Amino acid sequence: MEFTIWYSSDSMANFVIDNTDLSNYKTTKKRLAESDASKPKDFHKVPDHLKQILYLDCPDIIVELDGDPIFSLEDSKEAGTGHNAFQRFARLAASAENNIPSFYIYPEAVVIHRSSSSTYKWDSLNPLIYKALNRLTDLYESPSLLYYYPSEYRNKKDATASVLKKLNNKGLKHNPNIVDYPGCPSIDSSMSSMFIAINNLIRFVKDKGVKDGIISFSKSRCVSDQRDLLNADYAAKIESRDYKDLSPASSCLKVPTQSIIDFIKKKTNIDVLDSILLKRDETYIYKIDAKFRGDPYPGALAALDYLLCREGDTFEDRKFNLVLAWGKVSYYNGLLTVENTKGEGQSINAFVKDVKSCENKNLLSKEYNQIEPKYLPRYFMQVRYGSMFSKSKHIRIYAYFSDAILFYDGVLWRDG
Amino acid sequence: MDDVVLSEELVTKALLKHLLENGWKILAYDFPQSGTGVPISLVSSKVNSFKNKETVIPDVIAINGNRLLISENKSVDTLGDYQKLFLLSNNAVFKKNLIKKFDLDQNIDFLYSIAFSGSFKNKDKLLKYNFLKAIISVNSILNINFEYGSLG
Repeated sequence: MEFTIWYSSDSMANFVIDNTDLSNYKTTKKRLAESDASKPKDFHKVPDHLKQILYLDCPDIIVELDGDPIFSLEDSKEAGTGHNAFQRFARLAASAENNIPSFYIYPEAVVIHRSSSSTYKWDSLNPLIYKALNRLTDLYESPSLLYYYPSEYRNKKDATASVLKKLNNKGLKHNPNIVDYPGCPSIDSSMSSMFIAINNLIRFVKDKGVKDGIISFSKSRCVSDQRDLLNADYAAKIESRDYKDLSPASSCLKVPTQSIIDFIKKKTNIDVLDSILLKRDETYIYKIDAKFRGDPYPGALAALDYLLCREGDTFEDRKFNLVLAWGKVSYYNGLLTVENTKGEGQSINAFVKDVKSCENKNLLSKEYNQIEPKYLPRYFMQVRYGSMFSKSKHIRIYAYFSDAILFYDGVLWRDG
Repeated sequence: MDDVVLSEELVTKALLKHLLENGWKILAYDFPQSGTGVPISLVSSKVNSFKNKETVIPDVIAINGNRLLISENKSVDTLGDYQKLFLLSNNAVFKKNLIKKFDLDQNIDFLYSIAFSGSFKNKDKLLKYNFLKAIISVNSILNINFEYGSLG
């Protein structure tokens, strides 16, 4: 029985091993290559079953038991306001969709200095992240659990700006052992709860095998206790507000799907008669009035799927279509329009430019004698998967989660 | 030293360990995905602008008595780090903002170092970059070796 810890951060891998029952077993640490786009020298060496988890985005840690993934772990120290809370959501979704439990360490709040107003205040976590993680856990038999990154927030929630200014590390409590665990959290009740949950998971998969062990873990007391705690925090933080009034759900517009079909006709002169789009009468449009780009929008798009659209295991199981639109979106009297407000950066050509820049990294158009021998396994991987892993993260995620992408000067959509 | 290439994280860990063992206090550190770096503005606080491109996040900021160390660390020896540190060493606003950020003595001595793993590629450029206090290589078992200077 051997555990393999695939990691992006060596310190975080040590932190998890040393503080859980993993330390009682034989463990091997292996560095994780995030994608073919960012690590072209190494990604093709990653086992195929891990590539599927990494397809959307790469977590900080994936732990396997005898070659089967048993959990992933993600750690963030960012302020989770607005869209930012969801920046890493796609990697949690990737784990859930592969029936792997995930542990998400995120600060409940972070002290932010605003130079424009010379103030210091707590920026607290967008409560919608609780709901999105709950949706993931409800859909799959593999819990996606949030644990707060240790901070001074609960003790100094109402402190004055002058007190907050003096807090180290934006009010976060990093691990004091910076020789062994630099960049890791200190250990408080939240981290201790997470270690207990990980130990329970290890015990279940060891006793019952990976598949049944994960199912037993999902029904365990430590999971329901953590979910209860987060549900209570969600209720306290959202108060009487409608969750659809919170970002990024507040950036969505629900329209009749026919208006999307009409938009496609107007831009391409094509009559869409047989598309997955037509299976759903209504569509949520995620409106982004910014230049075309990546973070934080890819993770937010993934979260919107679970918050608003998804009612089954795959994107085919949606009650509503999910469409991404770049520009100023208006819907009036059945007519959908997308206006350009940011110049060429909001054109479909900006999307195509990013796709083409990913394509330049591929080996498939090369002659055999043009490929360095050490890259032949990478070439062979690309022969099998095409550019699936060599596209940039935002392109991969937009293409995976969007039923259509609208621009003022073009449109892309999914037929099947 | 061996030529094994380590991650920037491991290079930084080796340097942090050496500094702590030699009486330095770590004020801040950063490596990819650590999320712990402290951005220092390169513009005067009188200028109403604070964008990421106008800040720099040193990989290590450490203090020992009246000496303040700024270190840039990489997986491999990279000329860009020498150039970056050279520019910072001549940037009065950076130094002023650093002193203000950590509430340091105005007369503190600024020292600069480079740390990397693998081979010392830029050895021939030592003369040009002799403002550095130390150039450090880290081997596969995280032992450090001073290719140039020292950090006693």
